[in-house]
Amino acid sequence: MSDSMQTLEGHTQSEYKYGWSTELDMDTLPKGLTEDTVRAISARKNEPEWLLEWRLEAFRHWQQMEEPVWANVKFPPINYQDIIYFAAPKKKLNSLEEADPELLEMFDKLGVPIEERKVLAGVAVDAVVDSVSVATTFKKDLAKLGIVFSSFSEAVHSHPELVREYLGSVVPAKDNYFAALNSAVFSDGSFCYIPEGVKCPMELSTYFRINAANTGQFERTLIVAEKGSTVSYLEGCTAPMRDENQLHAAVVEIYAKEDANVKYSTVQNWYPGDKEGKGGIYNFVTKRGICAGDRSKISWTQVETGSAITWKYPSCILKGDDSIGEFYSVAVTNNHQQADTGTKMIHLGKNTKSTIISKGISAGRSNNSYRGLVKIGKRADGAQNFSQCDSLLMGDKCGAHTFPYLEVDNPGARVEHEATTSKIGEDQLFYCQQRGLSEEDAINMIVNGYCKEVFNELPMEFAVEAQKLLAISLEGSVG
Amino acid sequence: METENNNMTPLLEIKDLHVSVNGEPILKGLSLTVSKGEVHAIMGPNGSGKSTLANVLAGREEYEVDSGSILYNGQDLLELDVNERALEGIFLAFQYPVEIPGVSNSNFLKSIINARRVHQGLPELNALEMLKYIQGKMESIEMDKNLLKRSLNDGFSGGEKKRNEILQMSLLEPSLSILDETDSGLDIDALRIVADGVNQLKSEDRAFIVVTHYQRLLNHIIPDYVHVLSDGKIVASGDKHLAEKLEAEGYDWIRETNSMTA
Amino acid sequence: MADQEKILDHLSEVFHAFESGLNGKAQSTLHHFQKESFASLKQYQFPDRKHEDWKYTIVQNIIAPPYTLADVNPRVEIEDIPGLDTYKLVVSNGQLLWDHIDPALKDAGIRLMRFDNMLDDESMRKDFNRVIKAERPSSNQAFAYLNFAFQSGAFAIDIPSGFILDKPIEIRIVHDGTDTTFSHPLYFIRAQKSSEVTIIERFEKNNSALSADHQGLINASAYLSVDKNASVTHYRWQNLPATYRLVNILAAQQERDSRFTSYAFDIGGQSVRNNIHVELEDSNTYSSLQAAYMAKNKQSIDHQTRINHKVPHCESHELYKGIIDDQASGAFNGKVLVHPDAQKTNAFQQNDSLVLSPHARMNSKPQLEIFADDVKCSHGATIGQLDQKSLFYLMSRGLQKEAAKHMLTAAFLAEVLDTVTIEPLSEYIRTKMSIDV
Ligand SMILES: Nc1ncnc2c1ncn2[C@@H]1O[C@H](COP(=O)(O)OP(=O)(O)OP(=O)(O)O)[C@@H](O)[C@H]1O
Ligand SMILES: [Mg+2]
Repeated sequence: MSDSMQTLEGHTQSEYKYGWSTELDMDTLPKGLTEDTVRAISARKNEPEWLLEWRLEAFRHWQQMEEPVWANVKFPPINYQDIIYFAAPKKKLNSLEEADPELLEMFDKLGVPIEERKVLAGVAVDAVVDSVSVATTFKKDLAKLGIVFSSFSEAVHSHPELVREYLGSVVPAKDNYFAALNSAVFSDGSFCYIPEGVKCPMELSTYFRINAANTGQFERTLIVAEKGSTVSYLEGCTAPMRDENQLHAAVVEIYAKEDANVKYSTVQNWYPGDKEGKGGIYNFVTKRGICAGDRSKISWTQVETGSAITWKYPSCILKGDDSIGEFYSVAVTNNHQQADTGTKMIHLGKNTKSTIISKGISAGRSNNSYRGLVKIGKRADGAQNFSQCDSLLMGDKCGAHTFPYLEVDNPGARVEHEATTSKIGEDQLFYCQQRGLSEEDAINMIVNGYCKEVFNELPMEFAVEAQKLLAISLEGSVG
Repeated sequence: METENNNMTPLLEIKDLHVSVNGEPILKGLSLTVSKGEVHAIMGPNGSGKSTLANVLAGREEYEVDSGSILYNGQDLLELDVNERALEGIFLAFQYPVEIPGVSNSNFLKSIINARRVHQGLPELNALEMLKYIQGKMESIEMDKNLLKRSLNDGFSGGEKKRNEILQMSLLEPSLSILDETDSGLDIDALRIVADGVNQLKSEDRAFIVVTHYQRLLNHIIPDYVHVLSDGKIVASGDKHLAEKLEAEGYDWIRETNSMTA
Repeated sequence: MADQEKILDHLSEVFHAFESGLNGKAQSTLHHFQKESFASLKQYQFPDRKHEDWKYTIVQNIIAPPYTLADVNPRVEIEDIPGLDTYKLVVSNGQLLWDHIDPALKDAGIRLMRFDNMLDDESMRKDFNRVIKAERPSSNQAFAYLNFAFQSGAFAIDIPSGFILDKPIEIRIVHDGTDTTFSHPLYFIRAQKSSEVTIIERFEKNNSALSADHQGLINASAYLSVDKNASVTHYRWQNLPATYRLVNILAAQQERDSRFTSYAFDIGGQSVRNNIHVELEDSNTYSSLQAAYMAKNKQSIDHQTRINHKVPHCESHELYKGIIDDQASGAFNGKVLVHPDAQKTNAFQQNDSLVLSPHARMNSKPQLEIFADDVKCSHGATIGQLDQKSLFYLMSRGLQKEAAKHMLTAAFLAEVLDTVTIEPLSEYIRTKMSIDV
């Protein structure tokens, strides 16, 4: 191996930046999962009876289900009795001023703006630590427009009718193994409701942080966009470095009515484990949106750099005529990380359109799979899909796999698929350097160029963060 | 290393150069001196080491210099990193220009021009100046402006790639340009454009090493010297008539003369 | 297979009749070649319906009619392409008409020779054999051998080293007769080192044809040797009468630094089967295969392509665009083979089809077989209808439905036609292809 390739590998072996943990005073349930755990979580949150019943039904169903086995992802069996299902910072907050200074410091360190005074213009944040939401900013400003943006537990009390109507309407409690588990034990998350005709004036953002040890995180996000409304939603995540694996099984549901437009962006940076593959988050997430109304649009953008294992397929059910689904993804795996991610675009309505742009980057000994389903239903006349799946390999010990599934039941559909696999190699580096660029500039240029189509979809602030994150997970701190 | 404009010092002086790749000797005692203002053509059978020479000059790492020396402007070239050599004015037009998807050609050109300018102690060009500078050069080599928006060499035809190499050369105005088979695979019209690019850049203080398989390039870029590289050594040198003889008769006669003298 | 035997028995009869007409030439190199080829045909036989490559064109339908060899009709009339300046050659029922040869071609600086003379020219024959050998084995070889076996009027062109031919060579190919006949046009072109040549091949209706509704098969083959740094551009325009079947083989072998560009335009014929095969012998080659076609009524147009990447640093592009209307059918089967040694290969393939009627059918099968790991390959296939929204938009601006449709189909094919650099030719094809869409 030449020197330049070695530096390339060196760059791909930098450390996780968010790996510290904070000593917070915690209220924690004992390890283990029984009906009592479910009841205890529900009780801690003063939930209404119907929600407890909903949880219990999901739990009983989950007990009957088998953990799924995936071809391209390997991990030792998870002991579901060895996980803490509820952990919350003890202090109840009425305002941010009361927040535990340790907590504020933690968010400072993470660079998450939860103090409204210091907030970046135009981003409202809901911060979730371990099992509960600890702070939601800009709530009052948003409320003036009729927008509800709060923690999930709060919404259960403040808007029970909305939560009851839409909870599980897109991802049913029994949808899959991890969705059922989440439905039983979810502890908090974000709730967002945009009334008819309202364009949300700022980016809404949830920040997730797993802090406590041995804890699973099971949050739920529910977004309801009424007719003609528009919202852009961001999600970010980090976790401390710990030797054991931690489970994160979240559910995100989006419900879009006529002419509604929802953009959901994720920058996922859970702790990926160390270089030998020890520790890290298992990120098993179910994300789905339904374009229920005509001309509605749901767009998923994700930058996945963290987690030991990522398994997620943000999906769109395109039920309304002329509705649009989009999926833009950059998934980076390094060292021993495994990612199996992609999307499902289910075309039911007429003239529905979907676009899939997936960029995989594999380095180290990692494995990166794109798995996507495009299904065109019988009545989806004029449906169109365009998919592009690119894989970039760094080094020769990693793997990239592409599994596009096409199910077309309407002969009038137009489905296009493109796939490429390429290597960032000595050739490209040498070429750039021969023109006078330094090695770090060259690597940055090449990798960012490759991801450009996806970064373009991210809100400005996030795009910058994503670029940095990419630089960190692949290169170490570059200039 | 700032260069003294000393006409006595050759621009490039290669002495008894031995180079191997993966332990396999490729260049076996090559010597070559290039002075400013000169054009040297290098011809030779496939696999004789022409690209190896070009890559060693540019500083590619997998090419191991076992012995010998390379002086550039009187200084030890082997001391310098790849990008330092580039910044000092060595330019390699690649036999196979590399594609970099997603990196726009214009962005790439801007970065390399400014990197060179900063190295020369000149201020960076602003966006407008940059555009004017690049477009002016593109016109002179009849290159489609749309290629600026496209990704670097990605999806370019063979001819477009080679033209893009010439564009970069014109923009960077290097002291020593090494063209590795830039003419291979070009139609006659494209060949003329490449040759024009070189001829426009020719001057008293620049030099060119032109690697080619086809004599017809040398009708357009008139070489001062023609060298034949065979089995890692220069086995014959002459003027442009040597190239004509090679085109007509192939390389066999050289090998024979060589084995007789050996 | 009983059918196969019957067909071969019939062909044997026709072949013996053909041989007995050779007169004094029975001992020639050519006759030897014919006999060998016929023996090979019997040995390999025609592919049956189960063969993957012959799923959409039924061999039996093409070869079953009891064809006899067509006599040459020396009266050939074909319209000129306005404004197109070329060296013209005419092939009637498989025979090059020597007295129709463009006189200017004599002084053009190239060599034109009879096929039998070519077989006796050692260096030409060697190159010809090299190219035809590379074509095999393929599912088309029965048709290749059939063509060779009945060879009498073929020709070869040799472009000398460094020579750049100033005008395209236009090869006009017609077929006619009164009975059910077949003909076997064949030519070989060798473009030597650094030479450049453009061929325009036209399959056309003979306006002086003996019979208007004559049934027939044209089994045409062309072989190209593209030497180091040479450049060959091959256009094929096909507008045969609707009663004709056509099997066409075009095989090119490319040496280092060479370029080969092929265009296929089909609007005529009843059952059309185009096979193109590009063999990449050495590195740094460029190959581009493009096609635009339009199938109507009960026409069937079937494209088979094969590009064999055996060496590093080669680049190939394929763009096939077709419009299928009425009860017509179209097929595209594109094979790209990338061998383990062929690193840094760039291979792109795209097949787009517009299906205009509910009874029209299109089958698209891209086949990329990649055994090297550092390559860039992509394929795409789209099958769609005219975009109703665009149609509506144009009509809302006052265009008649037919005119609006016409505009959209023309736009669909433009991607291919826009890259045709010979202006009069692209103009001619545009006009012809947009007729009564
Ligand atoms: N990276 C490499 N690894 C192993 N062998 C190499 C490498 N690069 C070159 N070689 C070998 O070194 C010899 C010289 O190669 P080089 O590319 O310099 O030849 P060339 O004269 O440029 O040939 P061509 O005319 O085909 O471009 C060849 O035998 C080649 O196989
Ligand atoms: Mg070389």
